[in-house]
Amino acid sequence: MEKKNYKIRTYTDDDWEKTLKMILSHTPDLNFTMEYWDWRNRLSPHFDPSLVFVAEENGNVIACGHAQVWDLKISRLLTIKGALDTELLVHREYRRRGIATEIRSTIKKNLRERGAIILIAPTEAEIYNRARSKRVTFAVPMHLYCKTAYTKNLDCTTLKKKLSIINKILNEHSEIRNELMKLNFTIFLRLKGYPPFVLEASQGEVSIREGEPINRPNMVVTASKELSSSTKTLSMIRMFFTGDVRVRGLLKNSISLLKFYRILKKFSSYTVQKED
Amino acid sequence: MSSSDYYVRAYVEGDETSLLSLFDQYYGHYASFVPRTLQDWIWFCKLHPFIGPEGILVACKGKEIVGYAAIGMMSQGNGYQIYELCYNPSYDGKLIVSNLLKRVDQSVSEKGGSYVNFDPPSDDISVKKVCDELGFIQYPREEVLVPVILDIAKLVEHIIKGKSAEWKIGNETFFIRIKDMPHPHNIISIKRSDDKFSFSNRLVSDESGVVVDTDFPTLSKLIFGGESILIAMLKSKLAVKPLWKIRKGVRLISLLCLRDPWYIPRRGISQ
Repeated sequence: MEKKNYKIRTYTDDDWEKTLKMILSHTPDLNFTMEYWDWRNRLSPHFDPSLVFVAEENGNVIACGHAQVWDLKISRLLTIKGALDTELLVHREYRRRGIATEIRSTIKKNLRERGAIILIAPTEAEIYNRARSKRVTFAVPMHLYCKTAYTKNLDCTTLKKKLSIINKILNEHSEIRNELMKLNFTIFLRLKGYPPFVLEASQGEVSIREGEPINRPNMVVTASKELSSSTKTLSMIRMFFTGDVRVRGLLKNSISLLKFYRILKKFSSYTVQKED
Repeated sequence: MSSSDYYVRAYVEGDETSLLSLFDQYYGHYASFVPRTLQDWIWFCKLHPFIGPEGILVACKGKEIVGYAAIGMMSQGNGYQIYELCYNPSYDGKLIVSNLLKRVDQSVSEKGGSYVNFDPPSDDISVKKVCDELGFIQYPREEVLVPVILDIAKLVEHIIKGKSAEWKIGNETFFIRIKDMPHPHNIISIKRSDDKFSFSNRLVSDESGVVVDTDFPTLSKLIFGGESILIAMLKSKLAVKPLWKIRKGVRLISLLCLRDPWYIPRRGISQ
């Protein structure tokens, strides 16, 4: 059995920098700043330093977990003491050693001592499913957890990013580029969740421009329901017949569109190969 | 008053009390709601590093504050999140939400944001309709709400005391025997006599009563709505002894079920 070199203790103000260093290395892609950590903990009206725990090894903070006790409604008329805003982070290199489990049980024990009856954690479905496989937890059913996620793109940055990958592949694969060279068309798209934009294929390149088309486009696509690259062909056909997707100029440009679709299909296989 | 009386402005010092009461009014009926003090509201919205005073947009009708939205940067990418959006339901909710969302779009575009995310309560039809009209698309939510019970005996006690008006079982003693308990006590005894409840963790053998046999995960699921009583019984995960008192046992478990919708406004990075 691996020797336990770390110890779990309550957080002190001296741990601030070390903890933050650990958090930043744990989630480098998140916008986790000192300011955020301070807001979340020291500035919180419910901050209780005795509910913040760190795991320390050789003077370095390798994990951190914290919770706060709030008056929480569990139904319209019932308010109990409960914990919200819990976070548990373990440094990438120190995982699978039981540190998180140990911190979690320490937090739970301390929460119980402070009169907390439940701990509520909104969790990513993926993390929950992993935990569920170990039969440790359960979730509030969907019909009772009434949260809907909406999104709206204000520009075409995400599409442009995808397009830059397409153009990169085009530069690397002249055979597809040559096929695309034969195509020359402009599609004006009004898709739900995106601002209006123009998709242009000319001289072997594909480009996107936000706004109205300057010249008359070959086709105009209007979708009142979500339409994306992940939309299945059958759903797309259904949307076409129900009028959720309207295409002007389809018959006239059907051959070009089919060719373009075939080229796009090739792209997806190239992208997969690149990811492999 | 016409729709032109509704407008959206930036937050100014002194709005806090009205905004706090809007928050309590709008989110107050959801389970997992945390009643906020003024200090809590200031901490959450004004001092939030991603929101701040400039991220708070206030909807007014004439001089009255009728709604607000708190927006801030997302922890990843170049997107923005609507952390909170509340309105006074006694006014034209659709118009307030529409005005606020249009202003959010404008504000995010000015800040150079590429997209806006919003997780409103799904039972608010006005918000749903406006989102649909303004071109928001629904994406599959990849979030679940996990309640972890730290003290089931206390939870049962709180629920029964809180719902005492709904108790229609009369004077009776119940023993809930729980298997697979993560806590030391595996028996909750509930005694009702002369309109008073007494709770303990002991099984009184010389006293006749209703025994409810179950396990900890099943009881948790029954309380939070993840399992129905009938299914639990069919799966042999819930049993009532003696059999002729099954009605009383089922009534007790029904009383323990929490059926109000749960909703937590987005708070920070981890949510």
